[in-house]
Amino acid sequence: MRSILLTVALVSITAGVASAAPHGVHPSLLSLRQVVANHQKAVGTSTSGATTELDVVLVTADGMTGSMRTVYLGRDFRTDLERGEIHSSRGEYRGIKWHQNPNGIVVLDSNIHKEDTINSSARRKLDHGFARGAELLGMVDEPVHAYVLRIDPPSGRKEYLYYDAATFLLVRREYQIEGHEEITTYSDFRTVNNMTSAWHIHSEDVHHFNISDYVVQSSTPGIHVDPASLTIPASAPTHVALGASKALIPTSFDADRIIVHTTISHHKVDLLLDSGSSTVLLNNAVVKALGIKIVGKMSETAGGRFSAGFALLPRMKIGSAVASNLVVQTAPFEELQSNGEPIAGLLGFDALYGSVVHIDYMKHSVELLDPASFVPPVGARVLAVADGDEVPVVHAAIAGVLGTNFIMDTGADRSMVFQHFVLVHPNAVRDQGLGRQIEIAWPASATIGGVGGTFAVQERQVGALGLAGLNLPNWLVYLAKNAPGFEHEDFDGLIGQDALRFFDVYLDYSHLKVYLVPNERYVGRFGPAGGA
Amino acid sequence: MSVLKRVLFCTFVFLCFTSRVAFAAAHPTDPKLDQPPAGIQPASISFPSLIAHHDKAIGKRSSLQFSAVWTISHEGTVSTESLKRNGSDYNSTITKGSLTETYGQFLGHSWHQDFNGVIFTTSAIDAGSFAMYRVLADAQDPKNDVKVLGRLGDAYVVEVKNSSWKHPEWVYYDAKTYLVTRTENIEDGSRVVSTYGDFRATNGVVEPWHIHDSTGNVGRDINFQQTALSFAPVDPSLFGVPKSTQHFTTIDKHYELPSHFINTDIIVRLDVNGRGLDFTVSSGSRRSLIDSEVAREIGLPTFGHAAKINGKNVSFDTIIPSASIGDLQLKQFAVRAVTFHYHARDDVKVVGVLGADFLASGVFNIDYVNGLFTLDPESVFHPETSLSGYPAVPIDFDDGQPFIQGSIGGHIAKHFLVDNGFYWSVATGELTTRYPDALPDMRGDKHAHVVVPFADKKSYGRDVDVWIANVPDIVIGPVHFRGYRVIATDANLENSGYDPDFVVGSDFLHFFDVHLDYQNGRMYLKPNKWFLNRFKATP
Repeated sequence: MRSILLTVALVSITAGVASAAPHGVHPSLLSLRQVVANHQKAVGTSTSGATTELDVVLVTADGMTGSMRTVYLGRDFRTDLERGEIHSSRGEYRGIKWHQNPNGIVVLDSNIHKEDTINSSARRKLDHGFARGAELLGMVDEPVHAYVLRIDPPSGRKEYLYYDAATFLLVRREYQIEGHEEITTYSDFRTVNNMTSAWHIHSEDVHHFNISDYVVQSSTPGIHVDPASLTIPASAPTHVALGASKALIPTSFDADRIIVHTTISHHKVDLLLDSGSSTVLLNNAVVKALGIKIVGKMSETAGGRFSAGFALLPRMKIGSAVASNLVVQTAPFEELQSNGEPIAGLLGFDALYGSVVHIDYMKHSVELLDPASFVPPVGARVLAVADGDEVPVVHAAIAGVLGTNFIMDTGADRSMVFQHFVLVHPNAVRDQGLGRQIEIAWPASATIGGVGGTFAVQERQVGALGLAGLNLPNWLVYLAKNAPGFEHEDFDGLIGQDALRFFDVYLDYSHLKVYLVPNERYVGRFGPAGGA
Repeated sequence: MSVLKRVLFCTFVFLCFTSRVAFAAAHPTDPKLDQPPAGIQPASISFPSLIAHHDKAIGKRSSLQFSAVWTISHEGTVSTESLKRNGSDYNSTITKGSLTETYGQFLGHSWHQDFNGVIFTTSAIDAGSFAMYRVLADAQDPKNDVKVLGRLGDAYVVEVKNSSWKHPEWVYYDAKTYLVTRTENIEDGSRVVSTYGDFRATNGVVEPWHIHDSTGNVGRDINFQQTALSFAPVDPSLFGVPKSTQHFTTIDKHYELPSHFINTDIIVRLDVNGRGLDFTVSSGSRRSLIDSEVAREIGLPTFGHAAKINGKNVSFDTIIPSASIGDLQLKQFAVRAVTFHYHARDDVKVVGVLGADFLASGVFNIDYVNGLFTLDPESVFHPETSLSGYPAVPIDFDDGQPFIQGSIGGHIAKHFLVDNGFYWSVATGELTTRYPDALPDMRGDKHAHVVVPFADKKSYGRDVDVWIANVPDIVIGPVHFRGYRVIATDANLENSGYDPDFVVGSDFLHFFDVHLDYQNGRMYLKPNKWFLNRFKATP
């Protein structure tokens, strides 16, 4: 059987920071090389010679049970995960990784998030007897009698690997994901074609949230595989029908937050247009009141920890556009507009993907345009969008220092710079004066809200914000304090409404482009040639 | 497969740098309030040019470590604030007549030493200590829309708008110096005019040493004048929490305080200059209070504070020079004079509250069964023997308000406010919205009213639901109840510190001998005979 370790790693979206060191470590009689050599011997070398394989795994994760089916052909593979009405898949074809989300949208994996790949590679090297880069900490008796190795590959994350003292097989792995400690255990080892692997993998965090359980049902090498079945699939037709080449979206602008007035089952439901959300998120109470079943239960982290689920939304009217059979995420989302009206969720990637979203911050209007007939506006400045994250990731500069992974986020009231950028470029975020003035005037952290909670931020006036060749002078941004769950991993920050409001914005998801046309507000504040 | 990879939206309370000074509403809303100042003449300066000049004029602060002294005049009182700063660490000592209080913060941990010398940690910083350090940069904030209206006298006037604000504001930039010399904004239906003068260049930045806030009602004006400023290193020990002094009394023996219990209200008789005054005891009150009319009648000092403004009584800080509660002597006991109307019974007029400052003076025992309210020195309180078998309940104070940890339905909540001034215990919206299933309506079914954030329902966040919850599983301090009725609401309790999850009221407390040991941050709850009569207790 192919190691399902790789597949499982791909199923869970991981990112991480250093994990806490194990307790009770005592000296080992064996050296690192001896432990790794014994491990390599325990894993074995396949004698199958087959280039194809079909693995079927029973999966219980996110509060749902289903079947995961993986087909291999050489290095190419495709994994389909079926959990009731929720289907998703991912794979690799000729070195290109892709995934298809529950709404059938296929995106190629970005090259932004390298940690999973780097750490998987480091573990595979250990399987093949290469000990370089690993460190033997010693032995522990609890929670298992095992040799403990630490790997901390460059640009990867620190992990602790527990190799059973008797069998030398990997039985436990500890690491951190965005501030949460995760534990994966491996058991029910079976030897097929001279290779030994775990047929039962269990994963959860230390608070017993997000329990995932994988039980291999069968592993069949040498099956017939049609190579065409492993090619990158096309996205399913968009779930949002415009009805014309252009659909004007009923909205109101609340201090540059864009409130989209949708209709679901004759109820008016206001959602925040949020390009920073990779999904459509609906308040639990709305979904329940509509009589729509919520399936699954996940513990997610953004502004704080919250429980999320899935629901299949049969129909949602967004002006003249209609969304049908859209898989949405549900969460205890609570937010109010400044007039006290509720915002019941987020309108994100899954609803926007099939259109060009045109936002006119001066006229306070939003329209969805058919990408097939869309012609970029004259004089627009264009930004390339990185594929793979279901949010528009663009280049931007802070005080002249380029960051390649800023998220263009219509849901963010103000631009943010994340720790990933701050740690690498501390001089770029040096305060230009206003941040100090604010600290003098109010010596406490500001607090902002994200989904599921709030977190502290620090105001900082950085040098110019560079966007699409324009430099917006001395920009006030937020720096998050200890909010890894919100920042996720590898992103540099958010380009929020404070910057976007100076432009006519076109988010062209299909062609991976963002077009910015400076508006009257831009000219009034920065001058006709300001920032150029 | 996790789909919710990122839901990045973030909201914040919109920055409004110009300090909003708390003025009471004095005028009804007037549409003319939104009109820009009259007499503005056209000017050719552009906004980018104006701001470039302004940024250059104010400079850039080179150090966040300084010492300053301000004199503040407000409602007839003149106070002095001595401020020591190093970044976010601060020590602000405010003197008002013979009253002195200090606010401090060290590494993000804030504390307050009140006029009685009592110290509590707080979750909030003192806004008043920084009212003069306003950031006059609303026009520079790209979240706001700006328009140069023109010139008025010696200043350029910029109108600043934000669609989340009810009203615009106007910022005046001096035409020669480009410094902000005046702002006008609308608060509570009044136009607040702030003027800035006596600019001085220090530490790389040009700042006003004189600030005046006015609504046109002279009695309400606030005047700030900086009298000293230096940039010498500040002793960091000043930012740490000092020791309480509690100089208003000495607890050197056991006191049985003259008191009587009306229902669960504790009424304590204070003798002030031969006049008996009934005060109630409230653990939820951050400080002790007295009715302002009574304060005037017995001649308590006002330190120059106006007694009335626009014909209405106003609150002020004062001192009771000498008072006694039985044998217990109080000297120079600071209280806040407020408008106060409370009759505990038809014949018992309560004219004050003994709050956290008083309760911090020793170890208090509330014996509800026998109607006794006693006080002992902390040094003679040995709960390990006198209350053996009863665990200490740790108290987390927030500026005098005692919070303990509890749980409901297995969900731990840290902010159970212990307030004997509440007759009924209440589960607030902080708890009920998070764990609705843990607080079912006693009418049988789950609480019937479901608040759904449909935009076409005008209910969300507005209705306040109150119901009697039959709680199957609640832990309050050391006591674990199975089947306990409390009042539940979806509303949050307005509080300036922690948002209480639950208020532990006297309906709960009266089942116990309550021992409050504030100096050691703990309380003890010893079940009394009413408890044993009412509940079936198991170990």
